[in-house]
Amino acid sequence: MTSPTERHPTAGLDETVHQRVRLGILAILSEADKATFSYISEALDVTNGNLSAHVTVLANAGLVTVDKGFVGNRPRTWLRATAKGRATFRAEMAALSKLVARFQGTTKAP
Amino acid sequence: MALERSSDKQLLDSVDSARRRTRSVLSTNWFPMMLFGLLALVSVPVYQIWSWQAMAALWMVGAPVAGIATGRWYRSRANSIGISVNPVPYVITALAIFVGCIAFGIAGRGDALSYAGPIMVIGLGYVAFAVVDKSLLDAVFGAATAAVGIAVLALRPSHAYAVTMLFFGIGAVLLGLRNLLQARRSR
Repeated sequence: MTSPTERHPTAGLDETVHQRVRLGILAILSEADKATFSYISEALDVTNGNLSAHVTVLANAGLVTVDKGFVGNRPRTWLRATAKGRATFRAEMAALSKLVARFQGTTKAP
Repeated sequence: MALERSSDKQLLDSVDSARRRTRSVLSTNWFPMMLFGLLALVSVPVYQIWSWQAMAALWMVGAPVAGIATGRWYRSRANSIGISVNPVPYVITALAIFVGCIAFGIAGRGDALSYAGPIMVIGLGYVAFAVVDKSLLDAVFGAATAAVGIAVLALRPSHAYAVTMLFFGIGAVLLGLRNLLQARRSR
């Protein structure tokens, strides 16, 4: 049980990133220096329109940056996690792990 | 409530899976592994047939050329697959290896330290690369390579250069081949 002074793990969850696609974007960008829009849409199996909406949310929150450029004649959109984005991702993963561990603890109890 | 927590578990699993896949794509390093491994293997007959100077010249020219080729390979690969690693830790480690090898080569004056020092630096450098790549196998190889350097320094075998470079060269080529096969399979 949570003691009155201890924060419940849900308090550590971030509304902006607590979503499969947005957390997936940050997961990929936390491992890489940068990734293209098309790589992420393929890796997370989402449409470009769907991904674009989620990227806009993350960019508006200052968690990712978007750079448009060219490789030869082909346009490329590169995404990069900001320092705030990496920190938010780490905090979200910690809160989520704590929450899942607590849930597993309660379900395993006789 | 239980349903919500179960979806949190699914969310955590899907994020872990995305991270693992990304890590696996990014840890593809067969090109530099095989290139530097082959360079080490080629340097053995160069040293045996010609001279210490010829071997040193091969490394002084070959290592920067191989380093530049590796940089171009990573860049071209990043552009083709759409994901890239931060090059800074790799460049710093590569430069530290290059400078460390030259320093030991000069300080050793042709003695066992000339061969043991650089292989220890290379081994520690590979451990650093492995830490960045989060690859346990590569870290073990780096540590083993450094250990060979320490053994050579302690035992001073008659063919110290051949022993160190054959160990490193064969190991790097084999690890590179394994990485290439893994990369092909995961496509």
